[in-house]
Amino acid sequence: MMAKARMRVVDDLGRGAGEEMERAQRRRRGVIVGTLFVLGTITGAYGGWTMAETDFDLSQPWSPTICLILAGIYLAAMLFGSIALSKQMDEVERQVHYKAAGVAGGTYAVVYPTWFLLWKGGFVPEPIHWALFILFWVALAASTLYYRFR
Amino acid sequence: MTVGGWVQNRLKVLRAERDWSQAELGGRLGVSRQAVNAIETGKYDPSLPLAFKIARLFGLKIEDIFNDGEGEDARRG
Repeated sequence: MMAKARMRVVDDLGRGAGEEMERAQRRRRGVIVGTLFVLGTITGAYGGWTMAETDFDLSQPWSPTICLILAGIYLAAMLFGSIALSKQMDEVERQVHYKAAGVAGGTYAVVYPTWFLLWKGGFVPEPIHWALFILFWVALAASTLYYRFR
Repeated sequence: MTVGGWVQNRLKVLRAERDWSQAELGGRLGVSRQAVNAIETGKYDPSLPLAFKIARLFGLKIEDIFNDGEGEDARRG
């Protein structure tokens, strides 16, 4: 009885209403991802341009003001972007992200100590912090794609 | 009967009976088209709240839609 009553409510939705709701959800998600992409492109381009000016010598200092602005943008994008995206995410996508974060974290947990110990033993150069950071994001992106499209 | 440990379901059949696309069903359930596809193909078993939502949407019981191979129907089959 209760199921039938609830069913009527759902059936009251016009034909294609579900598709429109799904499209709207995709649009909202697209706006968030697009905004984050633009922010990432601008800050990444600035970082690349600054490094190119110093022949990619990372020991050269950058402008403290610019660094503060970039750090602020990154923190805001990560914080608010994550919250906004998580609100648009369904449980399937959330599980994909959980698994991918586990793989990326696991990759870091395996690679860094191994690299550190091999460095201490004199086998390899000192661990490079930005290479480990990039490795984390590559592992995150690769595992996200794997779990989403397998 | 289960395949690879997954719970089987009749979602695709129920959706086809109503001539709904995956996006249409996804919109009504508040999930993406990809999520509906993942459930239909057995790549993802829905949470209990989502399973209740699906059952309510089709006016059926959860066990009329999802089958883990251990129920009455499975024993009879």
